[in-house]
Amino acid sequence: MPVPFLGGSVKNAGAISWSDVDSGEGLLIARCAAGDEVACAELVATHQRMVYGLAMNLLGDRDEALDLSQEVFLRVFRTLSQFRGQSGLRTWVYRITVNQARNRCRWWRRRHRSSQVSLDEHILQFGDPESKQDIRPDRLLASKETAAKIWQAMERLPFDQRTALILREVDGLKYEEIAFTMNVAIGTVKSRLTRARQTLRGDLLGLRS
Amino acid sequence: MISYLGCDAAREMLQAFVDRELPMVDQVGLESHLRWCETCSARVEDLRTIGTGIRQCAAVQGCMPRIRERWR
Repeated sequence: MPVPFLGGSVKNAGAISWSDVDSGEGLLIARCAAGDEVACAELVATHQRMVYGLAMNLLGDRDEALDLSQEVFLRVFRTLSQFRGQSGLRTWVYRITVNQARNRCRWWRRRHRSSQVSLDEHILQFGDPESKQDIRPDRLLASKETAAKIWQAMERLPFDQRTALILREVDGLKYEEIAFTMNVAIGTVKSRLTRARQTLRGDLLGLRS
Repeated sequence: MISYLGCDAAREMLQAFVDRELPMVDQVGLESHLRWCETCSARVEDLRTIGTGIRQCAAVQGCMPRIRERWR
């Protein structure tokens, strides 16, 4: 008996079949793949807010986010025939969005040399915040000011760390879903989240200033 | 029975705890630890503050306008 697809849970590609995909979602995908414009519009309407929101959070630019959203849906429709239900449609769209955003960031970097400093270089220069945490008993205080500082510190994170953190904290994805979205192992997701949070906490506590 | 959990072991679990990804048995043990350990409790609070801050800013679209400029 096929196991019904549950929201966002992700399976190994070899362990799934179309029977795992929610029947309504499967039907929508089939209609889209057949060129049904109403179905395509429905798919866009269902996911466009999520796609634009994630693109905005990853790129930080409204025009770029809108542009990327269009690219994402073009990519979705071009590759829909390859979708086999290895994740929920939503998670699959997340994956395409992250890939497109990463490509765009790489494109920017190739043309405009990045001023980002790697975490290793940063630690080499300023020390490892984790090793100093017990020396400084400071605590982060929740406030609008703190929120703004957190977001500024997010700018300095490497793309993959920032993406993992946004997918977890903003979009509420589980580790398993983030792993599928970013095409990495769950352990890699955990380590990216750990490093991102260590860096943010260190920055906010002023350990690197 | 809840086994004793030291800070080193607890620290390894804090992120998964905050992310609600910890198995129930570990969650019970960690919650017990957090009742008396102020250091680990403070770390949990910091992790939650970071999450709250990110969500607050993300709710206001356009809060991170400088990312693109950094790549230019």
